[in-house]
Amino acid sequence: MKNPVNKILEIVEDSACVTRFSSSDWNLLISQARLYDLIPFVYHEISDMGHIQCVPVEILQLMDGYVTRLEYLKTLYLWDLKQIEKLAVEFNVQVIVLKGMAYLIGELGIYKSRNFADIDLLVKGDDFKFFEKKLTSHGWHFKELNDYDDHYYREWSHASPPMTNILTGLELDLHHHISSPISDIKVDTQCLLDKALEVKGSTLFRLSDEDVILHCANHFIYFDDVHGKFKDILHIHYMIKQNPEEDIWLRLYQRAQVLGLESTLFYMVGLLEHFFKVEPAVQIREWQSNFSKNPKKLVLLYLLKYCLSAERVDSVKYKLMTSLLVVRYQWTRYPLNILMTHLVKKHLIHRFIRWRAPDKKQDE
Amino acid sequence: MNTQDTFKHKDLSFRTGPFNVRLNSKDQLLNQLLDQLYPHIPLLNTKNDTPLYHYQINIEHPNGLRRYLRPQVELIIDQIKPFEPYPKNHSLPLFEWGLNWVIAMTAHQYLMLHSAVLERNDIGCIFPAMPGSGKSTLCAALAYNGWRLLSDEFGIFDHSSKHLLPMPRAIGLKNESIPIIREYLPDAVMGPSFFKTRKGTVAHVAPPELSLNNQHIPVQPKLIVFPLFSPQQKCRLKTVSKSVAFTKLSNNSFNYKVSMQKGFHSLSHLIAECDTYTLEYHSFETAIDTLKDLFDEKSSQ
Repeated sequence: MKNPVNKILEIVEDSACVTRFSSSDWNLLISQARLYDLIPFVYHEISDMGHIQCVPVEILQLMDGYVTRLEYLKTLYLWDLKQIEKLAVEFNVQVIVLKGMAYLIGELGIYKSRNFADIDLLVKGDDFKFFEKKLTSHGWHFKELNDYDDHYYREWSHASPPMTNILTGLELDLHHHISSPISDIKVDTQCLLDKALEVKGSTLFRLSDEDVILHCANHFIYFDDVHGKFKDILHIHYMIKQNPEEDIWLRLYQRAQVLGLESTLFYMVGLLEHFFKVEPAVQIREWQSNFSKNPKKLVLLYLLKYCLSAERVDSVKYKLMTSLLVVRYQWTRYPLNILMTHLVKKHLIHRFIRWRAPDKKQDE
Repeated sequence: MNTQDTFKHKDLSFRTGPFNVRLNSKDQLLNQLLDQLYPHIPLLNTKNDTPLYHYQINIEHPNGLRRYLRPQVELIIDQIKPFEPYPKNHSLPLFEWGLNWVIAMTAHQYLMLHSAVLERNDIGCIFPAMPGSGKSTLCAALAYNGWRLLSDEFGIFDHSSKHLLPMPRAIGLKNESIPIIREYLPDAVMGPSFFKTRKGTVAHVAPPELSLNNQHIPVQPKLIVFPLFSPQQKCRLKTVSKSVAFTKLSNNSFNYKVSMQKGFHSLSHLIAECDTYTLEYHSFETAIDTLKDLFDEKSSQ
């Protein structure tokens, strides 16, 4: 297994390849899709292209289990989002839906097959406190936090502490800005709000097509959880495919310049070329070649390519590479004094507790 | 089947109920205990063809200091480690719980009930119960007294065929029930006791050979019995109303909500088609006699 996503890439290229799959191919595909949380994606790709009759019964049963769970989650999350929409209408607040739920209601990319972890919303500064209060009086409660974590969210984060719905147990992150006030990556939230689109058949909003793509890319390139992020680059690939016009690349480039996200665009294009052999517009390629003269950027692009396609995610090399990405992520996220405090509080103390109680299970 | 050649082998492909599992174990203790507890489990033919696997599980020992200092064992499914490592000598509970966990988290193509399932005279009976109610203990006693064990943990109901699918695994006993079953079933094969696990002390009873050999035969559910070990009470079998049974059974399901409409229809079907009872028992003898009468009465209808 040279590339841990090679079977998924084969399906992306031509889903008819499954008609030639041997049992070993199917086993490999399921292993790769399970590792990258893409079993529902594989199911929908094969099914939408009319090859479902080629899927062996064992594999079909297995996929059915994953798809059933995802459909349940969609129902659950959409119901909660509907309640939030009612609140937004009642109190006349513009709510921008971000990430997973925005892809679902906007029918973007691989929206049919993406899993959900929480609901992410953005409410502009003036309405933020007001809407946060309304949510807390309508079933959304803040998770219990220690003093340090509470301070972290209130002073250094771009969102409230996570909230949980008392009825459904789902989590909600309410953002007042798109990026942290102390982070090196600063994106003008108002600039995103100005171009936000109303979602068809809803009173909720989502970011514009270019902003959704750049936000998704920024999120996985500048965060520490590299594992499983292959699905984000796959998702971006499908979002770009949804915009068949040639100028999508130009629009992305122009928007990246306005938002100060040229580096994000550079890494994103590099990864799309690496995995999906995409051919961006000529202007992008010219700009890219200038950008790639920066050795720091090339090193980071190499790290991202490696970590997204490492053969073994438990190998020493993989752990070392991801550690470098984590260090870089923390470095861009905090000033040095805050970073040191945060690392001691969050990581070392946590590791010490785990070391003292190694038999404590997470599985219940 | 030459068991020495099968479970000693660290790469093992077997069928458990509706699932094909590949186990790659580097743990000698686990391999020996599997050999002891599952000498009759149907193996998949890997010589002429590659089987299609539902789950590929690795049991490994972490490298580094942990190899020497308080050694550990970990379970890996497609490079995913769902649990923190266990102490090295707890590899059997880790494997059994890990397999149950991955099935419970992913096999939503079925309605999964947290229950024992046994069959006698073609009558399938679901024994749903909360932890601590004596479900597995009673299940072990019945499995070695003329009932066919389908499962002590998973009631797997197929939405389309409306049948219960067997998945006979070693019966997991906890704490006080371990010496009771060792004394009551002296001829049954039992593994060692594992102390200080997350569920206290646990030990496993081997599934009977007949159950393993017949694990491909589904059964129609006709009875639902909610058992409760009650040392102060005489054995009492009481009819329970369908509405109460529906609520109790839905609370005992791993994925009733996840299954949505299918789950509701399947649970409604089970409640409509099965007679529903509660069984309070204080001794195996009276419980077995009571259940024999119940099954005989049901099969004569």
